[in-house]
Amino acid sequence: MPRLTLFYIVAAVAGAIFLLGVVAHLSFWLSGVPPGQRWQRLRGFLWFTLSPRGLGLLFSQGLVQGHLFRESRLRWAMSVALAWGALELFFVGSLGNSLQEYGLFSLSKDESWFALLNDIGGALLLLGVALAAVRRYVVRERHLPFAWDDGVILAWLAVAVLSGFLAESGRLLAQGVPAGAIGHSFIGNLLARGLGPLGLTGAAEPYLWWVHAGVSLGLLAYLPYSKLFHIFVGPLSLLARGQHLAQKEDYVLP
Amino acid sequence: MSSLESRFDFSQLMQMDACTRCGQCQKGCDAFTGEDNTSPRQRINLYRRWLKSQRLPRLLAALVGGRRLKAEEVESLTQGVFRCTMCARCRELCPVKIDTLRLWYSMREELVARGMYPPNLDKLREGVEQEHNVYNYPNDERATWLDFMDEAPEGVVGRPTAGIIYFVGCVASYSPAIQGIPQAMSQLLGKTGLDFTVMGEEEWCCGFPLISAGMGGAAREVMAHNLEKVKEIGAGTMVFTCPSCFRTWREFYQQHLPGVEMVHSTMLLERLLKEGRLPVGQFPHRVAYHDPCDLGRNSGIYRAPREALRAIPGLELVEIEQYGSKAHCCGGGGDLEVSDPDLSTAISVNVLGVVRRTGAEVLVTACQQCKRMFLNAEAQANTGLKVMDIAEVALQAAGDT
Repeated sequence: MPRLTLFYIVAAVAGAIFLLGVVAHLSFWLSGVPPGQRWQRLRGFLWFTLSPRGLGLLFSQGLVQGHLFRESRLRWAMSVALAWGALELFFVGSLGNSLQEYGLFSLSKDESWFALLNDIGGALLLLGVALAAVRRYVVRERHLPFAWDDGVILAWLAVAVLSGFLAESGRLLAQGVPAGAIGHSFIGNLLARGLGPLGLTGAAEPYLWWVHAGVSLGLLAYLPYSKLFHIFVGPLSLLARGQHLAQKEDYVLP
Repeated sequence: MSSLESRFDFSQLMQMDACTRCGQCQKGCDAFTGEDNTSPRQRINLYRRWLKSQRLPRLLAALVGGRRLKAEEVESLTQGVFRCTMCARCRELCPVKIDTLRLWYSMREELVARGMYPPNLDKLREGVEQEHNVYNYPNDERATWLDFMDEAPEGVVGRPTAGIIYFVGCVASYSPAIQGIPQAMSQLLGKTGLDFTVMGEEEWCCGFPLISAGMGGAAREVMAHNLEKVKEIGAGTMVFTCPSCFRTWREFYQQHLPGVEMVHSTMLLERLLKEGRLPVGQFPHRVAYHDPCDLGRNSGIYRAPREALRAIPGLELVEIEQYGSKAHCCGGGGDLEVSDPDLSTAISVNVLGVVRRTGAEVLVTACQQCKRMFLNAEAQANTGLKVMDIAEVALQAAGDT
């Protein structure tokens, strides 16, 4: 079976598991709305999200996170590194690749801007993971609870990114490094140059690729069942509160 | 839809799922004792699990963290929900802006509907239902604080019409230790020649303590009475020295009283001092201002009290380490004094220690409950701080002219 066909089967399974979790969360949220008004509530939320105020909130508090910047530079750096890294890798890296595979978008992995963005995205995510691990396990901030799944998520994220860099270095070794791309795919290149002499060859690329695909799709499937789901719900929650304040439906008597 | 399902709305349930467990709320919570059930984070996470187990099919609930709680967990959670000052400091500290205060209200309402709440809260409800005040004292004694004044303004109780209604509130009406607040406020209003009245026995509890307890339904009668009486008097302005009354009137009554201006005493004092309508003399003291939760965080009034204090000659205003939206709670909110008086006192004693570090001689607040809490704390801690309400400061300064 061709590699991509098998990948899409695994991706469909991971996506279905992800969707099941999303449906469970959505069902929980909608249990707060009378049954006849649920579509109306969802529509209202969507319109608010797309309104100038909603988009402004998403930008200022979801993406830039100015409120966190004012509170603590370290927490802000950790949070935006994780968020921006994950956003880039998912929306630019993974979706860009998929569009290219389907022939919908003419894009090469060695395209300089694409390679650069993907490596920066991965580096940001790794930086975020490292900062989170330092806060949790080195500094041991007292108010941070010790939960086993926190460590699992951080390790999973790190493995997903590192396996991506390794897969990229395997690809470069298998296909040869394009002259212009050295500076752009800087981490993949560095790894290829470092690990090549240690015995890594292009023959390892399919295995590295599958490890990266498996770990990443596994993470996608696990997302709605883990604490990491807050990367989606956090911005939605900011919007929900923004919409609530906009409607001024404050404390209604029971 | 069951009554249980109506307690939390779409946005609240979503916000519960947004909790990142970062612990910022717990770090800044004055009521957190180290016990799990006093942690806002733990409360949100345990309550969310419980709600999911009730609202989702079992398998789906289990997948997204829902689970049935053991009896002892429910008991601990219930205690925790009522071991909170409802000060909303956690809301200000939350990086994903979870409106924790609304969650606490909904949790209390739901638990009360299930009959799970501290029994002492029934006394509060009985007091409001029977005598229309939180103390269950005869309501015709509401204005007896006027009897203890040397220069009481004459004929201000129960006037049929007036331009301004001074709504005193239960705590200042009945607690002898803080009756200086309505006494000072009424003298200040008298000095300015404003046309005002106090409602006396026709002033009933505003309903806030019951709303705060999750018993808002029981407040309907007192609220309807107050509304009717205020309409009868036809005042254009209502003045409050109690931030909780002020907030309740703005949030619940205001919509039924179009054109009536609701002002807290700090807002009125700022205006009168700036316009030069209030005589003002020296108050040569270093003063720290404590932001009451229902005036600051929950009503957004931070500037007026500071401007009023700065308008008093000789007064040196210093800020407490955490102030404004991050200000500490005095420990007297959320009916905590009723459900856990020891915790309530411990909080006020702690905060007094924080205030002492400013080097202030006088701790000024703008809330009768805060003043009462700090007076009790000072009696225990003996730090040497003098505790005053802003109206008392203004009156003392006015007397020095």
